[in-house]
Amino acid sequence: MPRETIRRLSTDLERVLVAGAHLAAGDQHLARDKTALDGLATQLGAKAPVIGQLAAATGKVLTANSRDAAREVVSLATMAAQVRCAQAQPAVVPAQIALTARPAIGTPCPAKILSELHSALVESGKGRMERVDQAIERGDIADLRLVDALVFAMGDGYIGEQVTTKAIPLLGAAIVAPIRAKLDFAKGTVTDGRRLRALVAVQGPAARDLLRQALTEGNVELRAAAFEAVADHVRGEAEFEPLVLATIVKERTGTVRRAAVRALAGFASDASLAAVVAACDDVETLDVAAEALGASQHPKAVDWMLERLAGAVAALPAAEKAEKEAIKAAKAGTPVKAAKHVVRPGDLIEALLRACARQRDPRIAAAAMPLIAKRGSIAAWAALGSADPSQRAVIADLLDGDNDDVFGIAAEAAAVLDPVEAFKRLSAPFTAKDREKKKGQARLSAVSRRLEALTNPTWVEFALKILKEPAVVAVHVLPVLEAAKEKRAVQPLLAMLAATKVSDILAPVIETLGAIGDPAAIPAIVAQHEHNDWHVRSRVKDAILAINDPTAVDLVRTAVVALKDANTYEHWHLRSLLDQLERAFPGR
Amino acid sequence: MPIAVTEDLLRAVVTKDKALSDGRTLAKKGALQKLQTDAERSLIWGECQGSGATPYVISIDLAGDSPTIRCTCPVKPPPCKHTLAMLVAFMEKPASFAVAEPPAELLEKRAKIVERAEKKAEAATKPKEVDQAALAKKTKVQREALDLLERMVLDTAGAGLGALSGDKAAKLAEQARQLTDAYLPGAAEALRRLAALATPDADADRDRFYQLVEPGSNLPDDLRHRLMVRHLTRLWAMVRKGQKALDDKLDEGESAAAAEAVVEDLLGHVWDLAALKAKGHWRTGLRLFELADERYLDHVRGERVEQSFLLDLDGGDVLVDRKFRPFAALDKIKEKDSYERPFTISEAGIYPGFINRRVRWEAAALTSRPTTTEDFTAIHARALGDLSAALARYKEQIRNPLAPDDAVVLVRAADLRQAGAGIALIDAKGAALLIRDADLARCRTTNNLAMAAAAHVTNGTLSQPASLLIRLHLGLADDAIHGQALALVAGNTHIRLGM
Repeated sequence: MPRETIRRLSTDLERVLVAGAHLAAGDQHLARDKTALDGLATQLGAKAPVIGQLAAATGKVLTANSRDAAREVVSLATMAAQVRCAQAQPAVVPAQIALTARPAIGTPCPAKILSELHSALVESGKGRMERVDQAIERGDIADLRLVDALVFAMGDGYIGEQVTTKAIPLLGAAIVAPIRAKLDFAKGTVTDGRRLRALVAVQGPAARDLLRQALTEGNVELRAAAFEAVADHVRGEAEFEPLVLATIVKERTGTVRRAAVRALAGFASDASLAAVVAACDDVETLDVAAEALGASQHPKAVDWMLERLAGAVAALPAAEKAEKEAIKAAKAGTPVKAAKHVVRPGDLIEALLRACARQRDPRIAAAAMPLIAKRGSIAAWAALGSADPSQRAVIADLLDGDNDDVFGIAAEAAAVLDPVEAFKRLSAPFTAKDREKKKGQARLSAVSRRLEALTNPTWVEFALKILKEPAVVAVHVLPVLEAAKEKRAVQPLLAMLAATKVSDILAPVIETLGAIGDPAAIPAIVAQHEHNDWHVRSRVKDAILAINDPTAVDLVRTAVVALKDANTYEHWHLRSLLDQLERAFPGR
Repeated sequence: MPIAVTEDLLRAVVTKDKALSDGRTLAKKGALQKLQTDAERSLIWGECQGSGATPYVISIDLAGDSPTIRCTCPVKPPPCKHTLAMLVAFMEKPASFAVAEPPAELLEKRAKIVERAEKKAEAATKPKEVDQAALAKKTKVQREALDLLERMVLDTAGAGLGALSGDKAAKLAEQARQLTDAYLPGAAEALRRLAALATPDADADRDRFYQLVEPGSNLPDDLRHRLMVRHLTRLWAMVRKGQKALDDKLDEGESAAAAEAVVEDLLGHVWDLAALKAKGHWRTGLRLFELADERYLDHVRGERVEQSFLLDLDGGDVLVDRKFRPFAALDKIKEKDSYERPFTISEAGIYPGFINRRVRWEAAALTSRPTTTEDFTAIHARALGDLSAALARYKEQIRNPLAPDDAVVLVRAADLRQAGAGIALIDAKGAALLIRDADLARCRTTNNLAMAAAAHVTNGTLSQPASLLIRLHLGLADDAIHGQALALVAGNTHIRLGM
């Protein structure tokens, strides 16, 4: 009772103080409060003398002249506030339910960095992406205290996509509830699309309710995001197939249809195959349809591809002839009616060959091999991927030819031959006469990319021998030494490092030294930190981190100190490297 | 006993992290030369090769409460990278310093420092010699300023807070300067806060991300006006208290400590460590654990506020280590450290005040150590066992109209449960307190608490032991006591919820 009376008095005094204290005299509400206080004072007497004091002060307010009104009202309000504070009670607690167990999110971000990172997420200004990138790299960004800011930053035009795809997944399942709370199907903005994709990336099939809602009720942004999410994160989940099929039929927007075709890739039903096949007849969706066919699990997918491939090959001469005539007519000034959205046989053949390369069916080789002469590596990849081993040696022979388009696939085919044969074919380009010329270099590049998996002693000894050859040749053998972490290669590699400034050589040499992990290489690697090629600077950072040795801290710090302006973008890698090293080796 | 050079000392004296990083580099690459120390290892000196032709001359005196650092390089104030390099070298390779007789010049400087320190200590213990004329002048100025403040409060109340907008608020803020000039910084700040609330701020994102000029300026008019009334009555209480303080009178039942705190706040009394020690506001061997750390821009003060809430692992008090950095000098004054490891302060001054008393110490007084399970055992043991004890202490504080209207306390949590948009903190006796973001929160934490606590729920209840650091505050809408979570300690896991 006293509490209610004093609260009412306070409210009335607030009203008077907002309106002006001169209105207090004779105020009906205050008069009513005084009556109540007088009653309470009589009732409580000496137990609560303050009630009597409040009643007396209220009386003064009611009778104060305009000159004294403000003083009396403020004095009474101050006294009432004191009494109210003394009587304060805990807030009423609404009905409670147990918290649902969720995975933990840590608080790894140090206090000094936290507010800077928070600002980078929620404010505009220079250097934000860099700060966010660094925090993602360090893992600091997955901090409980940044959740709200991260969810907000998903809507940022500059850093939103990076936050969505790189930072949000680091927080795992714990981020689901905050993002769900923000997802607005009615608005359906680009940000809502990002939210949807992020949720499906984290939750997978558990986000089925959202996907269903987005596909059935969402606008263009949400539908496209939903299809992308199905394609990227829940590919082949049977429960989404009817939804995707039902939506694709009605879909008119090009971007959404493309996303929908991608989403169909994982489903194996006749209906899905038919929808993907239909999409092959539309220029706008041909490439994604081919991608879907390549990934299709439907037993008849290959039958259909081979059938259409044969048809397109047969139709090609006539189509090419018609095209030539059209060009001729156009040159002569005759108007030609262009067929919009009609897929040309040549484009269909290439798309289907790309799709075939992802399927394993021996029949594909027979169809693709004759096309190598005209379609080059596209046809060769299809043939090699077809699980027909008889074609491997034939394709590997292409490494000896002049068509550099097929060197890559030829090296791939050679690498899967028996080890002796593989060594014979893949080592030959290193000693070929034209090895320093354009064709020879292209051949070596193709071979080099296949060497990573070859770490047997024969290859290691061969690689060490090749290191003595000119750098443009030796650089192609580095994948062997990198994979084998061959310590004997360190000195020759350091010699290569000292002898050249060419970034195409420096970058792989530094990478290899990093993989080998010998701390002796650190000074020479750090010395390359000011190279004008971004790739080299990036490799310096990665290599030093890979070596993971405390002696690097001082060297890198010295390099940073020596810079005229360490805060420029060119030195981002070095600063980031020092930052990570100082964390890895505190106190160094 | 000379000051021990440790990583903690380096962190405490350094003003810019980069200087320490550079200092380590200089030490490693051998830029230091002629390194020498006295027999007690309390004075070190030498040279450091910089970019100029002549090396810089460095000396560091490790006697006393904090190191005295000198360098002839142009970087001021110390420590520069050269002096830090010397400290690093002394910490890592003390044997590289040859023992020698200190130069007479350094001994003279030391003698002067010792003399000054002795005088200061002596002055702190003696009753202060008061310059009666100066005091009378200052008191007169303060009294006149309080009269001015009284007139401003009454004029504002007379015209009505609803009429306080635009020009009038700007004029009020301008008049606050006169209060600052008259040694009434506390009153000046309160007046500026009142003026800042006069203009509503409706930008939801600014509110959400803690960028409001003044918390509360985004509230609906009824609540904003209620807050303004709170400020007005506080100003009125300041006038009354200030006038009494100048007459050296205590209110009935008011403790001397509370009065000291109020006077400090209102009249701008500046404590130094010697004065705190002389008055007995002093602790030795204070073991502290940082539970929460806050950093925010206070636009009304024109300062960045950086504060840590530190649990006294032996006494159970929640103390505050606070630093104010003026916006104009952000790059010149060192950002306050956050203490990620528990630490012991050999000697600390603790300000008089209310629940969260401010603690200060000299740079060399801090020694940190790795966190152990015993620390967590102590945290849970020191947390208040039931809510009623915390609420009683809080109510005692807010009865004083000039006391802070919030208080940070550590409470044992028997359970945490979802309660509407908030969280219910349940104590061992089953009493509940609603945890929600304060209307004037600089940082929102309720969602963070929900996420953090949910990771420690087993079979629907919070795993034990668990303690929650909360800021108690009075709700504007209901005048009831709420809590805002600042940190959760669940078992041996410490989760900071604010920033």
